Amino acid sequence: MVNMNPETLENLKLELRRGCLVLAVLVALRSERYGYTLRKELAEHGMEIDEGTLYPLLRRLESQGLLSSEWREHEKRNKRFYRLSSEGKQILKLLLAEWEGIDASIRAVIKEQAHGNGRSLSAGR
Amino acid sequence: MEMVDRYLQAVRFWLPNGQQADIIAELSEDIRAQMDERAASLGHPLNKDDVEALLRRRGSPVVVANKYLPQQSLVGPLLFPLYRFVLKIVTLCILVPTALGFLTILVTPAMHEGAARHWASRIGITLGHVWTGWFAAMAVVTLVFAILERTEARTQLLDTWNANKLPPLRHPHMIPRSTSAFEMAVNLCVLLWWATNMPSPLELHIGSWRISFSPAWSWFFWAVLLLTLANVVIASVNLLRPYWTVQRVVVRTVADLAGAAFFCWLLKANTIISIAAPGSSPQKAIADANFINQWLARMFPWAVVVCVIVALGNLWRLVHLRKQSDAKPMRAATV
Repeated sequence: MVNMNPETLENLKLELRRGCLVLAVLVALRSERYGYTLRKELAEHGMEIDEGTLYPLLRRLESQGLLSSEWREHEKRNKRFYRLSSEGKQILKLLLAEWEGIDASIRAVIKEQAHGNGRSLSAGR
Repeated sequence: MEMVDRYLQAVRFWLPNGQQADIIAELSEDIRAQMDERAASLGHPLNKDDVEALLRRRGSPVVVANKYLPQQSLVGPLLFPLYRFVLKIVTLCILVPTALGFLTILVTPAMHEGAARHWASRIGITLGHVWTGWFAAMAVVTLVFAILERTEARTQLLDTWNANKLPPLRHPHMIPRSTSAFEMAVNLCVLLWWATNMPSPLELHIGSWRISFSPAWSWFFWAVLLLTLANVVIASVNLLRPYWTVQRVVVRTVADLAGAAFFCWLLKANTIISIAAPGSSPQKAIADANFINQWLARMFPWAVVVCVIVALGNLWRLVHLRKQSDAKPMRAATV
């Protein structure tokens, strides 16, 4: 059995999730949310994101024109609400197509590998 | 709540002026929302320890603020390998002359014994100069790379390259033919000069000068003749078959060590009896010879150092070669 370094796995998982987080945030912000509820919603769906990552990411996406935000009073407190801008909606559409393309490619590679292994196993018998 | 305000104030310190208020307002709201939720789950208002734990989990104010700042680096990842390479070269350029400087300090007290007591201060001064020089050099290199990083020169530096101008493939055990040809030419010249200018093993003629040697010199005479001849043969073989083999490295090592041993011995053997210049008296010829003998003896430590370096170089080549031959044979890729 291969001795796996847990740190290596964590780093790889982190790297894999980094790109996905942007997509998850954009998808979640198709409807308006403020930071805290957005983070909780993502966590409920298995996309844990710490506040130190989420807020800078939201600011970056806003500065890129993909999100719009406004300060509003909610439950007697001022909160900043984010939602997808019209440009963000177009970009999200393209990103989702890209995501599905990547997903399909990986699945195809996995399927081919599985068939290849099956063939080599039966050839070995 | 005072702790939260102090935390926010500490974060604010590291944020850019234009964004401070906005970021702090949002961060403050997030912290308070989290505190409310935590208090609800605990069933009581948060005490000081609870708040402290909550803030600790968020990270230090510098780390939190840093995440809002654009990624900054003096020398970016693209230029960094080049930067590190230049630093190594510069360090080497400083360390080698320094090592030579220390050797000079070690050797000179033997020449002037009165200077021995100044050793410590001289080494201290040399170390001080080296440290200052190295530090200044590193700073200049870093500054140059920081400027490159921030200008278009970086793009030009990394993008303007030509695959045709890349260095040729290097074989780790290849002996450049130019080196072998040069080695052969030099050794042939030495051989010719040695044979024609020394009519007898105890006398050397250089123009109108006559240098006489003690009988011990004859050993050196023949040793030089044989070793030069051996070097010509080795260089010829290397020219025809330009790859190091274990046998060839061993032969080269033996030849180098023999040459080094004879040379070191010569420095200490006081073999020069007289150096007769045209019109000089016999006393002057002997005095000159003694001066040269003393000077040669003082060079002995240097010669030993050079010999050790040569021996280590050969040893390294031998070990490297053995390692490579133990590994699977390398296939030469040609395109």
